[in-house]
Amino acid sequence: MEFNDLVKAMNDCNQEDALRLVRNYTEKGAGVKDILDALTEGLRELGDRFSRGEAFIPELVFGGEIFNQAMKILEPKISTAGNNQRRAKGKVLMATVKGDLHDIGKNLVISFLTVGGYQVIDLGTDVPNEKLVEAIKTEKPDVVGLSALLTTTMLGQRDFMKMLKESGLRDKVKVIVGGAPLSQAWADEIGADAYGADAVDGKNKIDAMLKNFGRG
Amino acid sequence: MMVIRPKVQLLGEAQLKLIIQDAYHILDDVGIRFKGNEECLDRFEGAGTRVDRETGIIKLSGDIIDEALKTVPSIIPFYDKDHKQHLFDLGEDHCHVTGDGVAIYIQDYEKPGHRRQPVTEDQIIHSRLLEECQYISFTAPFMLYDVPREIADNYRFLLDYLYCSLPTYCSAWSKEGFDTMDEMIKIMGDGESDLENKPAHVHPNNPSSPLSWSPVVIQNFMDCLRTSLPAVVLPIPLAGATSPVTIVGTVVQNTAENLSGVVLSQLVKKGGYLIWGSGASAFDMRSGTAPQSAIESIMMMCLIAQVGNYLGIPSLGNLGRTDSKRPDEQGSFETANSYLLGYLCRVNMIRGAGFLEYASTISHEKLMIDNEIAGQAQRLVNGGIDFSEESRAVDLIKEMFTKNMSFLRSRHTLANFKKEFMMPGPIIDRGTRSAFEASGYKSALDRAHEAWKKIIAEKKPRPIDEKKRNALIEIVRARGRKYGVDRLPIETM
Repeated sequence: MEFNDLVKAMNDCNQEDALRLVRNYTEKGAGVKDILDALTEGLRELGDRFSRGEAFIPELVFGGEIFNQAMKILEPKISTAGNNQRRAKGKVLMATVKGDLHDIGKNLVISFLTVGGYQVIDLGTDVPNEKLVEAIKTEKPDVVGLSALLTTTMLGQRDFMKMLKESGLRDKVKVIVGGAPLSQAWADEIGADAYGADAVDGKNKIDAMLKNFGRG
Repeated sequence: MMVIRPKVQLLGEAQLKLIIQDAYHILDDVGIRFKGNEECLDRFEGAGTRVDRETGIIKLSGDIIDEALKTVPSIIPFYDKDHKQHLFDLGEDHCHVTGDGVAIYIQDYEKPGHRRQPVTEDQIIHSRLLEECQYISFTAPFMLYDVPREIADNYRFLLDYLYCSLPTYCSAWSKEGFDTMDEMIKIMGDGESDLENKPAHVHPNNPSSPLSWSPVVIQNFMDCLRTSLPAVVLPIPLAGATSPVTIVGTVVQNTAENLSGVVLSQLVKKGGYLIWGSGASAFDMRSGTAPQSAIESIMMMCLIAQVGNYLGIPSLGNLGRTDSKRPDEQGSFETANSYLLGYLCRVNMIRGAGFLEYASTISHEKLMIDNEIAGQAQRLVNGGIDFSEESRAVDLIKEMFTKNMSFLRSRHTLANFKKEFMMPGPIIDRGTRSAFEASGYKSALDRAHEAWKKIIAEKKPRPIDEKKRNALIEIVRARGRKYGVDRLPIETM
């Protein structure tokens, strides 16, 4: 297959080669869709290696980073190429609740989702519920992923669910919560759709939710 | 009597000084973020620190850190929960094992590997067991699910007071929770005029690695100092994820985070009690978990404690927690590794007894097992090696040889065997095979289960002043009413 070198560079997490190849192919007039397919295939192979215990989290995270950088190179072409854009499995909005500055769990989920073919919007840490609700209105995500590491901040997730309901958006979006002090019972208690026990579980739950939701 | 207490120094003085110097440089050059608390920034600014109000980043000069280090007490005396009896000191050469308050599940012996949400009865049992654990010095109540989450911090604190006299390792989860806890402590120390010099609790405060403090944590930390509650600065850097992947890089970052806590603590209260903590952990690159019993985690926490001890501040490490999902072989050897190294390296507060699965799950059986592991570690370090002339026993060896006598018949054996040998049990089995067979081939886990059942059946709960009990219940109930609770579960038992 053509683009095998790009697939390999992605699978190997070789940033230098991957970005150089993306530039080269773009300059030579290769189709954006073909380049995107190669990038996605490389990420998929990397994900498979991770599942087999042959690749590790830093490689997965770095693979996602390379993909995002490659997308920046391709963006001008994507806008001119019309519908050549990669069809994402779904759109996920990720954030850590207000008062909480921890982001490692959230960032891991983002990496798994990116590698898994999702479009992810990361609002960062210490995100007020108002900002989250606003972002749901503008971004229209399929899923909101909300993280909290501390017993002191997890209550913010309950407030968010309340605000989501009051703003009339509850039926428009699925909500998954995660973080060390949380549990399925907590997700049930606050009315979230799912609880991600860890990053892999979080991604799997999102897969399952969107499948049932008519996506994925 | 000349007793030598074994000690392990993981790094020499020159390396420790370099780590501290690196941490000073980081705080001076890029600083550390204290987010969302103006009072805290005012205090830093008032002390001549460079403060960026917009980002919350403060930059600390070496002089300010040096000044703060001068007034942090090196020893903290701990009292029982009623603030009456001095139990032990923490700091310098004094090391102690503590329970842990982070668990959100409990595992039952009858369903190995499974877990459920703890309720009032579980906390009562656990606190009563801690009251009887000879080698554990602090208790720590866990998450309870039979009251609203908003009051669970105060409710568990109440239960733990009612059933265990040991000092508590416990946090509040909001400003309201903290103030209620403070009110409760005053009632516990009923009539005691010198309460602030007789601490009976410690409160953990977790900066968010790398180099950030969140608003709630800053507030709780300053409130600890204001109310003379010994405050633990306890960052939890994950090597390779929220700190450098290298062991010493993580130690440098944790040191910088702790030093910022040292400065803030002494700005709030000169001479205020502070504990230099670390929950530094390896980061499992396969599963994304934070294995706190990995040998690298133990190395980092022991090293960070040694930096704290070098600076003359009592230290704490999240040691003793196992990553195993069951109280099994992995659980025991991981805890034993942690305790032994923790004691040898003089981690003053060794935090984690009775825990499974990254400290998310409590187990009564594991507590019983850990108590005996702690006993072994204490024998090694606290008991030490008596190197006196009498202990070397040259005359005795000659005498026994000359008389062809058994040492079992010597007065020397009779006088010293209890001092020299720790007598474990009932968890550690040193009995004969016939006794083992007669017992029904029981494992350590089986014996641990029987041991705690026996304690609960045979030992009476500690006596509590009825008036004080009612006053404490009333405080928590009053807070509970805001969340629809008219009667606390403890009142219906």
